[in-house]
Amino acid sequence: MKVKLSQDVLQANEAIAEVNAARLREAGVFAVDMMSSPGSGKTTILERTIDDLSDRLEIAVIVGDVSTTRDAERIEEAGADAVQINTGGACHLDANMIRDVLDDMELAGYDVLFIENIGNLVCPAGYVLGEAERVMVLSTPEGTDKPAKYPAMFRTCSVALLNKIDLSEALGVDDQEFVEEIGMVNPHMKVMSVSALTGEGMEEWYDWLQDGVNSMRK
Amino acid sequence: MAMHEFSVMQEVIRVVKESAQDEGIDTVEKIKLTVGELSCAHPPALETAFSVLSQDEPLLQHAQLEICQQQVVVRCRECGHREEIGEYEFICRGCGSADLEVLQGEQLSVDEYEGH
Repeated sequence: MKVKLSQDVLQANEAIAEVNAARLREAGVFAVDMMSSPGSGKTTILERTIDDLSDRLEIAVIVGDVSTTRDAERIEEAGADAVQINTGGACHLDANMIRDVLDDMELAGYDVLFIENIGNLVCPAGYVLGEAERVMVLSTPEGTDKPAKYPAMFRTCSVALLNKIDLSEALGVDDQEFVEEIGMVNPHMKVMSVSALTGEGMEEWYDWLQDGVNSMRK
Repeated sequence: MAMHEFSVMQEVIRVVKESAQDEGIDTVEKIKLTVGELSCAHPPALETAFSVLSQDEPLLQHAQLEICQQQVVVRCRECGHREEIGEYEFICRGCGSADLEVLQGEQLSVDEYEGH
């Protein structure tokens, strides 16, 4: 006997993500899924963001890592609430893991929820979590070929933070080249060149976040 | 990266088991999947995951996995040109624009299975 299913394998995840998204919207929380390679500077960007915006925005972070609580500790030291998810080997977060964390959070107290995904440019792209926006971090030492090599990730995110531009000169790379390579894979992507270390370019990112927060309050 | 395919395959097996129970099927012979090139799932890793995970499933002791790979098909939003493209080339060969709509290639689905 032949049984037709035509069942999207990721549908179960997507259904849970929709419930998460509705909860976050209802609580007025702007949720951002942050994705990148390991070592691109996601946690450093978040530390600086928390430090600079803590007087105007209440920020919480769900931190995904295969193991350790190091990133969550860094986030808490920077002054935001952090929840660590250890996936114990899994290479991406999924909507189910986020649902379990949301169950234990007082969402209404927050303006922004960052979900720091596992450092990986492949699978996290396939798993929606309930976020309002998907943002990726690409750092200059990773090279300009990443958009072409990982198109699914670059196409699914609306914003790319080009980080570590303070190193560009030493590396002999031109920031504009990254922008052009990204444009070839996703011409609609908004690219913001930043250095989480020096703070250069971070204002544009903060303005974008504030716009997102405002849109949730309407 | 194989961990990712394991979780995909767990979901495939869950879907098939659920349906087989409803249909009164106790032996599955074949499961057909469609895997798009942009779906982030790698067919050889899916096969590995299937061979490991199916060992513990009485339902799947004789099951074969058949994967249909799906090419990426895009349509250019600038000139309307439609074509199959390589995974990494998001440029319209008609006009050079990068503003492409993906029509096909993102799918990851269990299409059907056979059993008795």
